[in-house]
Amino acid sequence: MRIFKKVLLILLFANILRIIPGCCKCDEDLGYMSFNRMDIKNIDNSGEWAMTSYRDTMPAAAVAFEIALFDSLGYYYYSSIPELKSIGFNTAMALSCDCARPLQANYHLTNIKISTIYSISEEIEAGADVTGLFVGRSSGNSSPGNSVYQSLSSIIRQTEGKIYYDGGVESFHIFLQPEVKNTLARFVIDITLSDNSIFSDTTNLIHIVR
Amino acid sequence: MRTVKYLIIYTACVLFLFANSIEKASAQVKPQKEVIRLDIQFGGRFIQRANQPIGSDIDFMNYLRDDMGENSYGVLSFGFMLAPNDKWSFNTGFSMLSDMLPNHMRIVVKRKVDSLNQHWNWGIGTILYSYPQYLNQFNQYHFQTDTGIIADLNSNYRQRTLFDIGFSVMPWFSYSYKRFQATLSTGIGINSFVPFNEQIAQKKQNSNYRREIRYETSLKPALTSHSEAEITYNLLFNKHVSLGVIAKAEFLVARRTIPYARTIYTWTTDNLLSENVKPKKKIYTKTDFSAGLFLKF
Repeated sequence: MRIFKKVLLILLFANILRIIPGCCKCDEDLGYMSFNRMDIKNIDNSGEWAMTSYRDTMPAAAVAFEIALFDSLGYYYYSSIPELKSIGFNTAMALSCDCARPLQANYHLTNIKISTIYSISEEIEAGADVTGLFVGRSSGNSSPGNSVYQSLSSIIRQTEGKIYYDGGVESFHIFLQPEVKNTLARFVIDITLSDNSIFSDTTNLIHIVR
Repeated sequence: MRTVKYLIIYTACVLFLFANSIEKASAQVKPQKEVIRLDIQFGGRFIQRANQPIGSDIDFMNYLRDDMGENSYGVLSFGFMLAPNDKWSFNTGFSMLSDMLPNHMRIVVKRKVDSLNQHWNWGIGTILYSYPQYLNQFNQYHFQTDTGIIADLNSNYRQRTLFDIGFSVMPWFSYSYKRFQATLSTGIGINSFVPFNEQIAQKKQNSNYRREIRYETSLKPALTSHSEAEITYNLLFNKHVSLGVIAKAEFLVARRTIPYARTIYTWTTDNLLSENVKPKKKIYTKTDFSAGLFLKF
């Protein structure tokens, strides 16, 4: 009986201790997801900052798009997976946190290929591989702000082992360097993942304004 | 090289005077009890440096003025002086500008070498100090020179604190008569602005074209002429404590520049052009005036 009382006392003490921490903590376990959807949006990069555009016109020297890869099951699916955190009492906290669930992609990007459907100039004809004429920049929380662009290969490298805190969306902007001489522009974008699967999509048809 | 030569000659002269007088002084002076002095002063700081015409390279020293063309500051200072005996005194203090950050400091060590007569003394002092000033709107250079482009994507007021660190050796002479004491010191030293980094991001309107200019300044020691004058007057005093007024003036002059490495990134960080730039040295002066109260015990 005395042993039972002692054990009960120790258990009670251990649970009282768990009430003491006042702050919340974010120690969410890493979740895994697979990119299975790709979205391409127009970007208005005519001013100081690049922003999403719903117009089908772009200045000849400011052709830009946003590419987003994500898991169509969605972030909330992963964050709502019930977890068995501990047996017995859960830690009592004075505050509750709004913790972002960290996600990692099962397969990262390995290649980006961009081809033009319309000729860009006399030298760059329709159907040409124009990947090297584009530069990129991460968008969302990982954007470097107002600095210069990155090469597409650098964007690809950054996706390896990347942990996403913003809903598991790999999103970046691509910017065409040369001026488009044609009146129309449209591109085919192929993205290869590390499991050799390829996403392919075309941009909207863009009317060039001068 | 010329700076080093002058420094060696000056140091040799000071050491010679010091060696000649030290024995004599130690035989004459009677040890006194320690003295502690606390002071509070308010004054002005005026920094002068003639603006250089806008050229192909930015000269950061053109931007030591504010938008009104002024480079004067109000300075609040606090000082603490300990003189353990008649020969040595240790002085430390800090000051602040209108931002009320106590980031201007000074440490002074003085040694009395000799008494010329009842009223006149002389000695040698060293001073280590740093003081801040502001570089304002240096991006205006790019607004003036980089036309046809958004010259700076950072729309904030571009101001940074520029620290100047100095070390001086100064012989001093003091005159005391009844309640009045005046000290004049003048000497040479080495000063250098603390290096800093800045960046300017640019973009063309209606175009994807972007570039970034990064500046990394480097340490450039300059030989400076440094002079100080201090006057104190005891208003109230008894055997143990005295309260008085204090006034100080300080003048620093040097030919100075801020050299830097400039890297221009165009489109991406892989496409860069680097070069070292050294703007012409020009006369730079710093003048301080202050007055306040002291308590000595």
